[in-house]
Amino acid sequence: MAAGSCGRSGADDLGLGWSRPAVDAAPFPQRLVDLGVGARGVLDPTCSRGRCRGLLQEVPGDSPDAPAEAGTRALRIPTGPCDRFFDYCLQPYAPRCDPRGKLRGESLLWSSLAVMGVPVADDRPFHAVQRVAGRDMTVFGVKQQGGALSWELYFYDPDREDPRVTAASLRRELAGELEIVPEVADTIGYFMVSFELDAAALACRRVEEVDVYLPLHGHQGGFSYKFTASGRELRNTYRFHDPRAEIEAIVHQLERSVCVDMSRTDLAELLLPELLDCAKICVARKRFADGIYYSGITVGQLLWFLRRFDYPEAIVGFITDNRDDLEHLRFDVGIDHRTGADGRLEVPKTSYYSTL
Amino acid sequence: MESYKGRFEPTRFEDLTVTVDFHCHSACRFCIVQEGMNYYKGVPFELYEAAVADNRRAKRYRRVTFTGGEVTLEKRLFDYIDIARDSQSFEHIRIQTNGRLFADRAFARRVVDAGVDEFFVSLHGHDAATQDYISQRPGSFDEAIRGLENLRELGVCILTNTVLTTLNEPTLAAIVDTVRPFAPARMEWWNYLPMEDYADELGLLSPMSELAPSLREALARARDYGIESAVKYVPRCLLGEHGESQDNTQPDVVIVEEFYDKYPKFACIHEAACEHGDTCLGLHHPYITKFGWEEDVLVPFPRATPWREPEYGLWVGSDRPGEGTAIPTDQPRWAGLVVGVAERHRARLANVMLQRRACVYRFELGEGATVDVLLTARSEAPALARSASFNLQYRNLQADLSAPGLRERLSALVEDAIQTVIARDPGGMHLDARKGLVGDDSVRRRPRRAKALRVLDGSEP
Repeated sequence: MAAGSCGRSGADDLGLGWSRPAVDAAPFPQRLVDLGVGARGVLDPTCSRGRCRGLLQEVPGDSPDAPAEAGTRALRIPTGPCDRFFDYCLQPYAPRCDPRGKLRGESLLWSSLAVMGVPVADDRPFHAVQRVAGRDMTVFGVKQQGGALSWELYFYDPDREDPRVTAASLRRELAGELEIVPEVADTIGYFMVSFELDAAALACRRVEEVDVYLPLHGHQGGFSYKFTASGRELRNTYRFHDPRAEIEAIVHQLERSVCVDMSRTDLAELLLPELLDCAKICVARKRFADGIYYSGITVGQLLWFLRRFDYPEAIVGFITDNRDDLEHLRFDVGIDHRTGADGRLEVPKTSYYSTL
Repeated sequence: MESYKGRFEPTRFEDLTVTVDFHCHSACRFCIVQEGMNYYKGVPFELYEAAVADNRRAKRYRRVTFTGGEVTLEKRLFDYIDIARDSQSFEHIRIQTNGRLFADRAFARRVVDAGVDEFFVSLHGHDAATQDYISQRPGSFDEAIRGLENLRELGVCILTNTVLTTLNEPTLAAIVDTVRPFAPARMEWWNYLPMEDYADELGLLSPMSELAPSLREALARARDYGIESAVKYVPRCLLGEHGESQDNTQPDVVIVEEFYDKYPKFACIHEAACEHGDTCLGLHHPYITKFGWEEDVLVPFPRATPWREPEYGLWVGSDRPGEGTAIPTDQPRWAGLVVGVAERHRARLANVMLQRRACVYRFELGEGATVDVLLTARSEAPALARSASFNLQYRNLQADLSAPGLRERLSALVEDAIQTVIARDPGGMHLDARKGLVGDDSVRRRPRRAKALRVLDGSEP
């Protein structure tokens, strides 16, 4: 460790291992992120179940791949011994408290599908994704736009560690469950691909657009292209910041916008104090709006966000009712802003994220 | 992350405040437990007795404060006081009050004779018209003034408390004049915290552009009279030459947990740039929502060192009215768990920080190398080791581990500290002394709201 750096949360910088003799060792590491393992390579020393694919673990048995009863959807998915915890950039984080006996983040996905009345049969693409990409390895976003919900799935593999989650192989592996129309060459230096599913797309099992994300050099962030069958176009740019140490950069970007008229908008309408207490803030430039993303928030903050942005009562109710079982998780949320024709600030789209 | 600024922070973990009950004969327009007044219950007497008994053994708290509601209305008030006094484990017994019942000199004398030596009296207006309008009780000002007169004659320590709202913001300095004859050891100025009216529909939140000048005038007048001031929840950079009077500390409060769900959180856009970012809470969220971040009004004090996210809340000691900054004691019972460890490793035990959720031992090995050994309540949560009462971990390692032998020294010290705690922990030690004092029965039943929420599952047509 370099001078002045710090192991802030029980990092094993001193090499005091997890199974030292003569002490009552913890059942799992104090903090995964401090073990220095990558997003796609977390080794849980206590995991004795499941089949391991390299360092990645697959956990049969407690996956909702096969619902107990045909036609039903399990909403509350219990945590398992090999669960890993990632933010929406698939960066690992330490659970906020002991995750045992609690719920997996994917419970929010299933509950949102249930709330929107998506038939259980249309869950199959999600189960296929979880099977192909690996448990915990896919980020999902639940988006609210125009009063309707849709779902986006994000696949990270910047170092091409897993040949099954490249754009081309996902298209191949998911065929049968999901027809991904655009072809994206794996030779492109992307670090992530994503596609969106709404109720209609789920019903016809067809994806017409794929987003491809390329990294910036020297900064945490990137930009995205939309791929369709007929071509591609540049879409969004993203920059990530520490919410406190880099607040000036955040404010600088928020205050310089072509989508938001800052002469009519207070900074506090964009930079929300209730969410500033987070791990990372991402500022995005989009074609018709600016976006701000708050990463690593608590379930309490998530509930505030859902209420603030008028998510369906049943969504809020599910999380409220299960709040104690979600306290170990961190979540991520996004908010798009633009100034409307009447000069008032509009929020055309919001979203929340966890992993599948 | 997950700022420690969300609750009563910084907390004075040597001062215990016990909420006795939630009745009041005033109805202050800004009351932070207004809704709770109907539902919250105080600490059950038998649990309070147990807490005092524990303090007799552990000597953790130096002061006990009784609050409510209006604690002087409590029928068993003298039972509460007697137990605290007889325990001889508190240096001070304080009552937080609107002062009205102390207009009865016999009652005031009885309370003083029982052992209460500090009186924290609310006075929100400089005259009867203002105070009675705020309290919504005609005559309350005159009663409080007579109460202060009686307490002054009894020679006890008087502190006053003024909640800053739009209702009294223009006349803050006049309150100093009103209070001066009673020679308070300190005047406290607490900016209004909306606990329910987050949107400030009552219009009680005063914008800093108006509040700060008025407050500075009051602080200057108090200083001229030789009265100590303490300001809470106003950004330090707005206090001008009175910055030192900012004191956001609060005692360790035993109150229904639900209270904390409503307690406002704070933020400052300049936190990382400001030298006082660890102690100045900035602005609370409802204020920011209404008036904005005040990014051009708040001026960060230049930092002497790069900002680091604080590991823990500040470690502050017991309140010392009129004596300036409180210095925490070393909590001998807790220091005793690691006595001798530092010496065995040519290190120094720099601090013992006893907080609600953790006890932190900070060891210094020289040349800037420090490491914290952290005790948290024993659970099945991840930990390096467990003693009878605690989970043990180390954190906040500050060292150049490439220095020859340093890693080995630190490792040996941490391991020794952990093994020593394991060997000495007798079991039954509690970090959160409040735990169990406010249980499920701490809230009176309220009418249930019908749940209109329904989760559809896909099987429904």
